Amino acid sequence: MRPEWRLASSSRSGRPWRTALLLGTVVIATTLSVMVACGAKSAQGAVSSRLSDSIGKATARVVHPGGGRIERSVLETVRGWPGVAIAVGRMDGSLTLERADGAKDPETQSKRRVVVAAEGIEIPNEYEVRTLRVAEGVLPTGPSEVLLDKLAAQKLDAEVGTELVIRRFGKPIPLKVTGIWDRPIVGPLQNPTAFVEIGILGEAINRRDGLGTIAIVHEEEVDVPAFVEARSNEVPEFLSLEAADLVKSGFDRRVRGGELTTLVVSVMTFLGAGFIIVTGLTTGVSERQRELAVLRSVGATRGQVFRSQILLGLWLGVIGGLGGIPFGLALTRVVAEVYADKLPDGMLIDWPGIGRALIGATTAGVFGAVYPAWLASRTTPLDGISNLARNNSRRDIQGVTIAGFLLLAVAWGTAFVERGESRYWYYLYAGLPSLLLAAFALSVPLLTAFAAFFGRPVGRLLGLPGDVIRGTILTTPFRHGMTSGALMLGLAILTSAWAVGVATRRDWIDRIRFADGFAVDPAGFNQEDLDAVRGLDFITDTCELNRLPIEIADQQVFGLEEISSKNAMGIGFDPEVFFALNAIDWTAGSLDEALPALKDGSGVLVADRFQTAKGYDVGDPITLKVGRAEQEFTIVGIVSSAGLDLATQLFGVRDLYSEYSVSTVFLDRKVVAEVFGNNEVHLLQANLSDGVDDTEAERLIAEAAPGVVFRSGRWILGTIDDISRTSMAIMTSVAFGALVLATLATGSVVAANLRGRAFEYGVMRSVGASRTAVARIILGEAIILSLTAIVMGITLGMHFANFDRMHYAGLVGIELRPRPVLGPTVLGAATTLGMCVLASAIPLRRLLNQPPAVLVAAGRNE
Amino acid sequence: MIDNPLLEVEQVTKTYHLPGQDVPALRGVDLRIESPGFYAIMGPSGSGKSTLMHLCAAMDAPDTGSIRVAGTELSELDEAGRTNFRRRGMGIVFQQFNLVPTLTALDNVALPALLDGEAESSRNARAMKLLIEMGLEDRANHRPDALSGGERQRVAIARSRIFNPPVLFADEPTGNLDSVSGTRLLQQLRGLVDEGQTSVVMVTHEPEAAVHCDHIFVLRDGQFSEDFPVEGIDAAGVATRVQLALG
Repeated sequence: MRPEWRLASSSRSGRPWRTALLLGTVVIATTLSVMVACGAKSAQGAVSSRLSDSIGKATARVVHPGGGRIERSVLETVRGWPGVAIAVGRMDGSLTLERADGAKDPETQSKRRVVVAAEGIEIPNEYEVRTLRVAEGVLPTGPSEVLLDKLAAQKLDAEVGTELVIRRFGKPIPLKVTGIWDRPIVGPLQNPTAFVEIGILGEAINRRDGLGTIAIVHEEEVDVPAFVEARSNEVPEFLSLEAADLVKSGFDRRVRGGELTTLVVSVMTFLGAGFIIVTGLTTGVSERQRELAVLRSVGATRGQVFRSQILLGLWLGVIGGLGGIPFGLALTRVVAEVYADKLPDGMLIDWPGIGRALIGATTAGVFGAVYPAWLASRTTPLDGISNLARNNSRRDIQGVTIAGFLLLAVAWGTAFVERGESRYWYYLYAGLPSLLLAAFALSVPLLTAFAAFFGRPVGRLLGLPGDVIRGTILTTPFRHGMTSGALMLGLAILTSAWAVGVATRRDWIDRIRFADGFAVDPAGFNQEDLDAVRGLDFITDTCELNRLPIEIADQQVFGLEEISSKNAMGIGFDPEVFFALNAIDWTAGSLDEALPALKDGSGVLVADRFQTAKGYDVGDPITLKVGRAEQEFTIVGIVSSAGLDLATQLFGVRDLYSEYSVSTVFLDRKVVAEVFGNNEVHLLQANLSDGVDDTEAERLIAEAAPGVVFRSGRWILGTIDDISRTSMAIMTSVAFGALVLATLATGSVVAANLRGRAFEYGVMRSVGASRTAVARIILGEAIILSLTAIVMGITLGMHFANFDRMHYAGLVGIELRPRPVLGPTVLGAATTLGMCVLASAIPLRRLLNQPPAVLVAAGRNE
Repeated sequence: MIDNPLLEVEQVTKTYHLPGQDVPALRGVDLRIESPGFYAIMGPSGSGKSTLMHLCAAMDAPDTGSIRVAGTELSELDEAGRTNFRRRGMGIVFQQFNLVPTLTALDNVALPALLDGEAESSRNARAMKLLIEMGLEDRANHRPDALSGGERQRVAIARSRIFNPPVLFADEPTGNLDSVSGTRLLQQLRGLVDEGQTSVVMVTHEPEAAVHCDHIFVLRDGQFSEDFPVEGIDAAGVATRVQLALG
């Protein structure tokens, strides 16, 4: 390989600027890929981290629907199940904490004491399931230690190291503060909270014998809903095993969708870089025709010439890849700094993503070198003697058009692959590359058509005679077409990113729509408080909800009576208002059909997992029983609400309905009152007017109805919206990066083109063409190139968006409706045109500064 | 020295197929050069002399006929054999010099040896020796764009000799040189032949160049019309003889 390597070295060192441009292309592609991978990981990490902080990583849990205790033996059983990575027991309770040194509040002169909502946790297993961040100090490591939230620490005037005691009937239990919990900001939750070892909590509240919940984290490959379905009968009858709602909320699948986007952008970027290398090296081969012919005439074999080009591509890929990684990391760091408030974990490095970037860069280099290498190896010794250009025939263009449509058919084949994983992999390895190859291939005939249609009017506009522009473009349609291909990439990424991004925000966020706020009175609202809250002028719509433990009286479906729990949770609601405030997914049935039956009291809705667990379907009768009251209803809908699941978990109000949604029955509140005699209101969903912020709303509600706690629903939507915007900002940066990338390619090709046609321009100048005439020809070419790139870019971008839509539906379960977004698309199109003109300007300036004699001499290779 | 005739061309034809027309370049050429020496092929533009040179240098293949160079039958060679022949079996010098612009003079001379996989030290030593012979030792590390036309052509001659081939084919080697440089170059070629290092077959249309040769072959419309020894004839005489041969 030494001769080949030497030839490759001389080839790259002989044209340092061209080499630098191609190297820059790979560096930028790698930079973008690393930036997207690490940026996406950081953005998704921030969301996961916030959610994980709030609701943990549990994928399933065992709960007691009636609020009773769970035997510890159940925990051991759960731990023994295959597929369970971790299972931890938890317990809740109230504790009175007091300063051990007897410190007093200087204002009230009473002892520093606070009643906290205590969570008993298994130390250190709990930390595997939930990330507890400490603002100061460390997490508890033993039974005599406590982690306080800021509010509890403030009320106790405690800091790390402060000694406390648990006051109780009996001997106080000493505790030492090891850390202050950096509590996630999930609205104004104001209950002071503490974490202690579960045994200590059990001892303090005299509940040593049981657990409150068991949180389960499954191994990665486990299908959680299937697991739950299979194991739900193995827990004692009065307990419920259910999938954690995080899974159902679609957030992890949204993350998966994000990974797809990252992969797609990486593949796109490197395919783009590959094509730029194809164009650049092919241009180089054309320019070096004589040199290659000389090599052949002094004894270079075709293989040696071929391998020298491949080695050049390999060198570009590896060096460009290695060079791009630090740039990518540095840029991600900058983005992480800019969006520091949205990325609390800062920049996360995606090592597999970096590995993919390096492999992608190397592949792009080698892949990009194959065609020029083949072309170079075809050079005969005589090609060095003849100066005649090899013009592409009409047949070549027809060939590339047919190839383009065949590739397009391969890409469209994605739609015929079964939804889900198979389609995902087909798209990634066959559909996407084919789509890009098709776009590059079809850019040649499209450019030819555009040159034919627009060449003359653009020429006229620029004051050029006849078919000059059309003629010059059609001299090298492949080279110009490939340049358009490189140019279109940035616009395609931009169009796709915005179409999908806006659709995600619009369609996904719409799907998880819920009320602006939740007013909770743990003891149940009294009428006075209800009226006071409803009477506040910033409260626009309200929906009252109540709950009652309910029993399914006639459970006979599929003979499951003996093994399935009869306990369920009944949620009473006002259907019309509830549906207006919350987005509900209908697994079976529809709002229009269900509403009349709900309102007249004959129908109920059941949760979708209720259907899985108990086998009910729309139209089935169901008899509900509370005490002695019993009534038969008809199931009129099977529903779920990802938004409510998410919101209720985040706000800790899940026990009001969502925690037990596996066995939840929704029915009209009037029916609950009339049939079952329960008219309590436990939760008030409310929409707020835009003028009031969450803190203000909390203050006014607390003033109007003391004891009622307000929790913001706008916060979670705002957070998701924030993350969505951040992702779009990153993708927009990537798109503009791709435009810069394309500019390098364009500059490279235009420079080569001008150099290759120096003789032609020299002759034109010699016979009286002005400098500006040459400049106008180049400008005209740039306009046609850009027009082609703009049309192809927008079309390709929408194609990408459409494929994204397909995958979101299949993998994430979200039906997106991506549409082009005018502003960014127009901006992208204008930038494409600007970049193309700019890329042409630099080599043009050099050309115009050369006297005609030099140009003519250059064209004769003198 | 070689036992076989230096060059045997038998009934060689070559036609170029251009869009809309076929252009016959050689119409059954016969040429036999028995002994080593310095030979010129002359003829007007379009007579087929360059085509014949390319065929003899295995840069192209004839439509019919056979060519043997120092006993090597070119038509029997496959692609690899032809490549190897170009590398080691002969040397070629072009009017346009055709040096690789990204390589230094030394690397250009050593290029065929590099392609042959020869170790760097060995090939560079041989290349340097040839450059010294051509009086270019102080230009060894310069790239072609830093050399004069004469120097470039001498580098090209050195390159053509790296494997000490029995024959050099030179296609208008002085066509891009001034008269002083051209004369010097021809004297150097003459010297190589006189020292028995190689033979030279040169295509030229310049009588001043042809007088350095031993024998001249005149090609007209794709066929040889005459050949004559140069001894005792000056440039004007050569011009007259050629003119007469061309009618």
